[in-house]
Amino acid sequence: MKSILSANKANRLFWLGRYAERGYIMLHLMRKAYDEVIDVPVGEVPYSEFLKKMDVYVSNEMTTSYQMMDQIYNPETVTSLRSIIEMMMDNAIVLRSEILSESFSYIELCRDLIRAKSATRETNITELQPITDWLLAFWGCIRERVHGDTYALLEIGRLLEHLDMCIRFDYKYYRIEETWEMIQKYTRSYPDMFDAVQAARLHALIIDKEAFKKDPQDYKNKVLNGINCLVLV
Amino acid sequence: MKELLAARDSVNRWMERYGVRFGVYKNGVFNEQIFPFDAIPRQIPAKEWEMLEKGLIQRVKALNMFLYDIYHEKKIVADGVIPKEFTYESKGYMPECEGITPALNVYAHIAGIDLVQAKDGKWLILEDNLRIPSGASYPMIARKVTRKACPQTFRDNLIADNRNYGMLLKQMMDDVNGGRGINCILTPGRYNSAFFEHSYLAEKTDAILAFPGDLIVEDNKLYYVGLYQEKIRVGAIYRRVSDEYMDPLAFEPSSLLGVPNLMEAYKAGNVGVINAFGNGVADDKGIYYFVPKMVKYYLNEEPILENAPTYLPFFKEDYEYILNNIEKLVIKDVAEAGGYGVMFGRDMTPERLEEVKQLIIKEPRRWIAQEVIDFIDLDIIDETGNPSPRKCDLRAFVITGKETKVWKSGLTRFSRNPNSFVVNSSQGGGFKDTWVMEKD
Amino acid sequence: MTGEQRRYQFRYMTEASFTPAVSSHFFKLRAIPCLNSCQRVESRQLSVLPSGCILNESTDGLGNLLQFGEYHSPHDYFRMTSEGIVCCEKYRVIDASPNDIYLFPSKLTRCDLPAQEWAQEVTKQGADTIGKATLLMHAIQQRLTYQRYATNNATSAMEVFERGLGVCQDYAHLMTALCRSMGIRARYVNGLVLGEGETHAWVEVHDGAAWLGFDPTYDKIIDWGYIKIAHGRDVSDCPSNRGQFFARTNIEEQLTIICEMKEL
Repeated sequence: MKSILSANKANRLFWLGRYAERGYIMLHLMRKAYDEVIDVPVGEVPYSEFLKKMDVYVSNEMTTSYQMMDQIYNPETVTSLRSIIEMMMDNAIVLRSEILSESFSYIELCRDLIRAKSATRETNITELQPITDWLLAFWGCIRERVHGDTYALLEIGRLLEHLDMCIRFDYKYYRIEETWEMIQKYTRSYPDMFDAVQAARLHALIIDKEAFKKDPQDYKNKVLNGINCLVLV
Repeated sequence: MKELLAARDSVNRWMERYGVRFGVYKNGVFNEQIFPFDAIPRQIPAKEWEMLEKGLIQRVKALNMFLYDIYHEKKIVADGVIPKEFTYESKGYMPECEGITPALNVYAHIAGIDLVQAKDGKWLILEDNLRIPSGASYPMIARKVTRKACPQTFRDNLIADNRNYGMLLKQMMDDVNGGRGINCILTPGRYNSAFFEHSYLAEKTDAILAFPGDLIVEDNKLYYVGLYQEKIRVGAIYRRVSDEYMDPLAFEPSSLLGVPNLMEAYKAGNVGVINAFGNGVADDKGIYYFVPKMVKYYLNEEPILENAPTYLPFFKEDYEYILNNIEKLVIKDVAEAGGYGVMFGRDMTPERLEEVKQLIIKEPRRWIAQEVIDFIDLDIIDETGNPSPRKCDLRAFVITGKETKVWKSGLTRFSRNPNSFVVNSSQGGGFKDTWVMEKD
Repeated sequence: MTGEQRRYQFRYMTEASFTPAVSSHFFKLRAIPCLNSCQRVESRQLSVLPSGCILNESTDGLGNLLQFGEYHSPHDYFRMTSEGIVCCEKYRVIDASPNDIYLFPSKLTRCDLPAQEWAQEVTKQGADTIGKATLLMHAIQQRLTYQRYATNNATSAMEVFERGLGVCQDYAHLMTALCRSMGIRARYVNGLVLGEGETHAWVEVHDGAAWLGFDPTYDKIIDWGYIKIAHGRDVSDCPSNRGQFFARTNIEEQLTIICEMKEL
């Protein structure tokens, strides 16, 4: 089904999908990181693994706990959860009539909560659990109510971000493979939205399991690059 | 009523959740604000509404006939009912619209008519808004969430459902469209103060929300440019952008919000524009004085709804009255809107009064004066949680497609301060739901 | 047309060149001589380049002919050429029911009290509308100095009145504004004039039966040698050329106008 969308709205749908997924996975991984810190032996630097994977430079001047707070709440830090949610909202606000007010409201709720918790610098991350719940509700709402190109663009954004995070955080190979298979459904049904040459190259890269085993870092860099060139909108 | 008051917090939470806001610029910085909602509704009994409905339909019909006349034969001027000065000198008069007949002969498809109720119960018209009246989305969504929070209240009272505003708009847009293409709502962008309303109305009317740059005129037809550069014909455009910014080749050349050559496509009858261009000539505060005369002239009927007592310094008798009684009058600049350019004689120092007198003497056509109407107070719940009286007006929405219909609700606005008579949202007021009762 | 007639050949060309090229372009022109009781168009041709431009015609709200359209491929110039032959009688446009909008100030033709008093003063010897308009024209000629680049399209009649400088457009605005302030119907006109290489602006004053032409720039009641294109309350009602183009970068635009007119 074709939806009536401008190029700008298509672009925003794609990014809304990406940011919503990134917010969701980030929060999940942050909870994991908080859990692991409980067992970190004295003398070791907490959260360093998480920060490294998020491409955050672990400096000696700030404690990593402080940097972690920054990764959650600081609106000036572009990779922070706060920034991700603000970006989600920034895209969603012009899409109300495409995604409908019910779905929109979950984004609004996430934004209001992260702002409120930023103000108090809430240290217990479980206080952010409603964001996870609302993001799941958001996707549920999208699946129930949104169709055609509009749905496809959100879903493409979500899946690409999912792939990105799987690779960034060293998920098992089968997770990467699975996600890529789902993306391929869209490259086949919506060929106009993808760069065909990039899609073929990325495909060859991803299915090269040997490369993944041999040099995970090199594999990671190449695939992450490829992801950013795949979609045309 | 108890249920409504108890549910105040829950209602406000729902409103926040739906992003019910309006944007305000302060010192050049864009901020979104909550439009404060008061839980106590304004209730209008069925009998009273029946009268209001008739009066509003009558008034809007006359206004539409006036707009047609002024851009065609100008009989009302030739017959001496309205002086020439009040039409051709008005900022809202657009010579570009001369001779253009819009679809269905309708100019003001969406009219926002502001009324107040005097202490004796009589309703008076304060202002006609025929360009881009805003505010309907707020009571729409307020009703939606209040029904969630207070189901019993709505079961116990027979209140006309106002959630049909989207349907009313859609029906009108389809009438204007005539099957030529899709319906679009054009917003100036997300940083417009009424962006929430634009996006919400697009959702509720199944129209496409278009942003500047999404639309293009090609070979004298209007199109929406899709994702694959495909061009989708637009049959009706509900634009929330002022006339002068709508076509840089016909109006303000520097406008980046408009669509070049839209005026030509409209003139050729290839697209319906809601509201039509040039409506400003009929909602000018100076022309307001003549609306009851229009009702008599075009419809040969007695006006059902009266204006607030108004004086025009343009007329000798009124001129003298105004200068002699300025301290008890409200002086309004005919070119301003949104509560700006309104001055209360009783609040002014003698020096300021003298200045205003000089302004009137210098440009009599620019000002109108009105008696201060002692309109009724409605209770709101103030910051302390106690009932407190506030001045309130009512903006009624009158929709004209093939037929003219009044939305059974409206935007009741109240002033922020107990002593203020100015209720505009841009001046910090809040709003209430308006219940039109199905039974007396 | 029954009286003495004179025929003129005209050519009016404007060219805009863009550096670098623009990707699409919309335009709206008033470039064809109008039809009225003293002006007949024998032949006319309007061409726009690049070829492939979509071109439509209509009439604006004040009765002027409009040509408008667009072009959607990259191009580095846009040229409009309007040419033909016009047959004129002595300048007098019969109009038994003139529009009242020409009695009132427009954005560029507002008139303040000192200017109004000045106009009253210099025309007090005038016996009738035409007499007053003629005196006013003389006085404007005395008051203003013709000077290029001192004003622009947004300069109002009152600024011209105060500063005393301007070109034909400003002369015409001032005269229009002052006439109206005295209750005389007047309108702004643009067109071509014999012996000038660019477009010209003048004034029409209604004497109760017809519009008569006054050229305040040359202090002259118009009889022959003027081809009228459009009229309005001021220039913003009837600009001869408006365009909007779209491009990815800043565009330098250069405009050339050529007008040729000769009597046959």
